[in-house]
Amino acid sequence: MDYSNNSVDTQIDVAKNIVVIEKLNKSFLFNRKKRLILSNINFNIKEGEFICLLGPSGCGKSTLLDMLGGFTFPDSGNVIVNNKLVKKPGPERGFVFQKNSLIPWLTLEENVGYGLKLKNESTLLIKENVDRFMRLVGLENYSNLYPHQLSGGMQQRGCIIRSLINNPKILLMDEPFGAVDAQTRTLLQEMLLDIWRKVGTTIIFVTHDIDEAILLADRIFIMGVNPGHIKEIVKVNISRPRTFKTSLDPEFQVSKIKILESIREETLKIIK
Amino acid sequence: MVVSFIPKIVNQKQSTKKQTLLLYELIKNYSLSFSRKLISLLIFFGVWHFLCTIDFNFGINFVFVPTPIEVINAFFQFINDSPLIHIKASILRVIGGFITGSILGIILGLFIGSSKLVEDLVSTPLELLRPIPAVAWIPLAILMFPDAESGMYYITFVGAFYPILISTQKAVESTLSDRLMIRVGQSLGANQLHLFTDIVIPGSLPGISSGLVIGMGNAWFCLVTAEIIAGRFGIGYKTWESYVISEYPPIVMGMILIGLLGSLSSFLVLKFTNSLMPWREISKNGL
Repeated sequence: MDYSNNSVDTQIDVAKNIVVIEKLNKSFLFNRKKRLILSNINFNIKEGEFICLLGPSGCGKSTLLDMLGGFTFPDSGNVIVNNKLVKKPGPERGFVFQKNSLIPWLTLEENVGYGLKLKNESTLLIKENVDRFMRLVGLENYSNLYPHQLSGGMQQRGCIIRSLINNPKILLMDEPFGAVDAQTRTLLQEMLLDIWRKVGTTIIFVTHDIDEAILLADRIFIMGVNPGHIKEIVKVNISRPRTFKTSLDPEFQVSKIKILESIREETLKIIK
Repeated sequence: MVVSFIPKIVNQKQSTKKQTLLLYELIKNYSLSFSRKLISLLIFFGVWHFLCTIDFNFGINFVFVPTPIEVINAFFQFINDSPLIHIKASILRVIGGFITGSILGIILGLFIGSSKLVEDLVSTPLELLRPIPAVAWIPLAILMFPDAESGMYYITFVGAFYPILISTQKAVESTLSDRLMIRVGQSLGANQLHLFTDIVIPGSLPGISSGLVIGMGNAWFCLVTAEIIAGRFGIGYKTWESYVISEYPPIVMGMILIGLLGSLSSFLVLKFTNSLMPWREISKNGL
């Protein structure tokens, strides 16, 4: 454990932190009643880190990610990405959604190149970059297909490179592999780690799957409920590169038990 | 790199035998569907002819209804008697009304659907005028327009305009209510204008398309009404004139001609709008 949720480190060197969240509170209106969703969230993320937000459903992890994306805003506190307050969505913060979010009326190629087209880049440069990223995830033979002609795994790979082509400072991923089958998921996880190693972007990855979090993350932020908060931060010390065999690593089992106990407490709170 | 798990959906090395089989399947399915449609038409005309020959009169009176054969005779008479003047006049009126209705309906629908301000300012008077049937517009159409021709354009326009307007408006509203695509655009760097042209308009195309198909049908629907004020030409005029002089077969002939031209033009509109949406997956295999 590195921090507890109450440690507010005021002596942060902001330059090294790509993401800084300070004293963040967020509430929603439910039937005209204000309900606190996230309470006193504080954390920093260093450039190039792979972070997983892990917690039971309803802990506000997606809301936290939405605030990093600029889709919704905190009641109080700051969300700072790359030394700038987040005020609106933008291409410097890539977002991969849970559902297939390829634009249905664009081919895979057009989807991936859309961000560059918005920047008025030349057709040649767009084509070059699209081809490069398509090869990176093995989609080079499917460029002219429409999203509905692709499998779930292919669609999510398309979504990932569509964000990465904009060269974002951070990549925000909201349970991106939640809807694909277990076998494909393992392969997508390995592929994501491979891309992350090559591109070096900071990734914040929301999941409720403990194995997924341990396999992927440098640090896991475990979230508690009522109201949502960062319960503890677990550092994963398993060496990289990690593959599906990593789950047999003794360190993996140690982390898993620790996290299971922690999450169990929170899940029990919801059930009671 | 892990790429080997990509499913092979593009199988280029299909044997010729398999291809022939596929072609055969295709033709079989197509001709099956075609013959079903032919049978339904034959039954329709058969029932009609049967009811006429037995002088069916039970609630509905078929005694004065011309038989299909009389109608076909009337049709040949019409063909021998310079039909193109009538058909051309009618088609121009329908197309004129449809095109103006499409342009105005789509533009207004896009704005009403995406802006509360425009909706508040524009939609109440439009809603007030919407239930008025085309036939009720005849007196005003005569009074408001310099000649009968533009009055007729106006009446077919009224028919085409409202379905296109309402479909476009609803399509835009439903596209905007799905926040996912809007968020995708925003997170890739799209501004308001990009969101409108790249997300909202294409997302609304299926809805707009059905509005156009219904609008085209409605324009034909209003043709007879419009051509009541016509002086000499038009299929609708011909139909109305035959009624006035109590000549029955040409009435039904006019009706069928309008039906044919109407469904043909709706079909063309559908084909055209579908060609704008190659990305859609359409399959009709039940639920």
